[in-house]
Amino acid sequence: MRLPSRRILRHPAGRYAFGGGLGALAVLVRALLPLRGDIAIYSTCIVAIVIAASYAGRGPGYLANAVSALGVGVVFLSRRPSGMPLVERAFGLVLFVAAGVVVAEFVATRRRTELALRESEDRFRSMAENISDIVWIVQISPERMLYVSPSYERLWGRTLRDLYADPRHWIAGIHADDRARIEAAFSDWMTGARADYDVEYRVVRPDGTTAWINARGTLIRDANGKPYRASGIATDITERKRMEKQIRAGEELWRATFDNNPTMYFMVDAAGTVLSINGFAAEQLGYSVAELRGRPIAEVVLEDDRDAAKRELARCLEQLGQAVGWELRKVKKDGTVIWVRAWARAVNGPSGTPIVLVACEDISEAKRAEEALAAAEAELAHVSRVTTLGELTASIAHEVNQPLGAIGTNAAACVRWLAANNLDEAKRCAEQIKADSVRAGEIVRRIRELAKKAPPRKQPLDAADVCREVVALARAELQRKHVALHIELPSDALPIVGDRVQLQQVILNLLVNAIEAVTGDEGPRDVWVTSERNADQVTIAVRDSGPGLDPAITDRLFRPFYTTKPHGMGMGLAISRSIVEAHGGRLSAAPGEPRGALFRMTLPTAAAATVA
Amino acid sequence: MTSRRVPGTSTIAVVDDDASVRGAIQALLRSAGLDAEVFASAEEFLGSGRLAATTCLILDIRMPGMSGIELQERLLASGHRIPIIVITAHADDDERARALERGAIDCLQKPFDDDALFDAIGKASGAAAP
Repeated sequence: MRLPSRRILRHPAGRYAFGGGLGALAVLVRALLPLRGDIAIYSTCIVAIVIAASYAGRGPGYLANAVSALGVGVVFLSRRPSGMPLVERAFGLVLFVAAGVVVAEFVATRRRTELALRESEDRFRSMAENISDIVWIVQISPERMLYVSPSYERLWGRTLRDLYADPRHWIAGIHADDRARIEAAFSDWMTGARADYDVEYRVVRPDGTTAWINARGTLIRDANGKPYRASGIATDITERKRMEKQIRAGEELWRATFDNNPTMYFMVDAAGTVLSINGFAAEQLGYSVAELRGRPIAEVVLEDDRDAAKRELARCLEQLGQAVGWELRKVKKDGTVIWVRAWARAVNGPSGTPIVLVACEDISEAKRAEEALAAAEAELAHVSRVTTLGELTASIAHEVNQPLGAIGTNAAACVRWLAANNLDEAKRCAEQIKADSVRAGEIVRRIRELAKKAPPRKQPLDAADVCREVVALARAELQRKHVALHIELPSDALPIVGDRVQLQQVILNLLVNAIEAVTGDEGPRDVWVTSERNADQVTIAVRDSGPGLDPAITDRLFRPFYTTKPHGMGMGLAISRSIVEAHGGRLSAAPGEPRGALFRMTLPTAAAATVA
Repeated sequence: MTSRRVPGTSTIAVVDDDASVRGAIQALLRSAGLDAEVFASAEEFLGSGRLAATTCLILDIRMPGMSGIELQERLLASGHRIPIIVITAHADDDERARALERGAIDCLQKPFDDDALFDAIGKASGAAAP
């Protein structure tokens, strides 16, 4: 029945007008129809109530009831067509009104239920048919597709009709590699052999494109718990799969980089336990990753270096975020020791506790080369030292001969005094002999020390003392060449740290050069050896009154094999500079004032050297 | 420097920059009953005013400042004919020859034999005697 316009029924006023109008229409129609009998009086009214209640609801039904009852009552009852007594007619009217209420109530309730049902079904449909997922309901036995949402056509590229015709038609669209697995899983789930249904598979559409599907299902059970329907959702997860693949590829790339990068990586906690280690590090140390993970990192550190490593780790943790570098020795599983350069940085880990990231590089080769170089340098320094001593041989022999001569003379005097029985005088001579032999021994000791080949040994020294010893060795040479030496040393000690022999070698070298410079021409023959302290530096300077340095060669002076001497090796100054630099100092040349050359060596004081 | 002079005896001067050496020579001479004046340098000896009184000079050749040879030349030039015994710690034949050329009584090489020194002193006193 399409009688009432839906627009009218959408408004309450329209619905009541509809109900009232129908009531009035029923009275009119009844008046025009030639119907007889009491019941028949109300027949059109009942029709009006039913229509009003079913299309417009309970209220309009009541209104139709009231209007028609009023109309019939007023119009027909007053005319007494059947001659029925008024009381009976009134009773009949009341009865009709009551019956109308019941009918209106009944019809309106049914209408509401229907409306609710339709609304719910509409909601389900609009949901099922608008989401991109496929919603489906299958009857289990016999297997029949009850509902599948239209997204199926888009995802599978197959028609709904085919699927309704064959409830397993969707399986035909599954990728050949996945088909058997999914079919088995679905059948097992439907028959109860499998508890749940949550699977991923690929669908190949007839046009050849592929989609990844995630399907999940639920069984709907009857009162006895027996499944009679299955429903589920199939979701397109192609995009998610693509991203997962991308993330996995990224992770694999990262992992491969981490593991294969030729740098040893460790991640340790504040206690020094290995949280993570890369494949390369484990391989270099001869372990497997699993063997080292969870172990204290100290286990792969050489025992002698463990304390230092612990300190550096603590330093890292103190200076969160700052890179700290140091060198240490690690021990491989087979006991081989390797030198590594470590760079570490502590950061706050994911759980808020600090972790230390350590990268180590094997520098064993470089260390070996360094050691070999140091050995070669020491060897060269020794050769150069002995060469310098060789240049001084004549003077040194003279220097030793002096006390020896005095000893011989004193011994002769002693013998004479003894012969004369003058024991006091004899004793005095003997004491002098003793003192001179000590002096001769001192000279020999100095020479032996300089000539000796020993590894460099750093110790606290007094720079003034070092100068005095060298001067004592060169004294004879200075005399022989008629060179006046002026020594200016402070009475206070000049504390430095270094290798005595090597530093003496440098000063001796500068002194011998100075002597040669002043004896080359007819000018004055003066050499100054001075030492002083400026703040945290000790300066030792050797100045001469010679012709000075040609400014053009000043920068070449310290190069190896550069020499101005006919028989020089050209190593003296080069070695001297490398010795001074190894002591954390500098060796430089400058013009002397008013003439000559000035060689100045600056070294950190003992206090400054310790800090550094 | 201590200088001793016993009146009536010949005066020997020792010039050597090395304190041990000149001390030892002084001790040796004293053990033989000879007194000596010691000087640490040629300059000190020249400035001492003892040149005329010195009858024998024991002189080291190699010294800072004025060398023994220079002193010898200086004395020759100024007409002082002091007998000189040269001592050297170094076997330098050239120096030795130069010293003897300029009239040195003897040239002794350190360490020297005491008898050689006394022989030379004996020769010197003979030479010094008019």
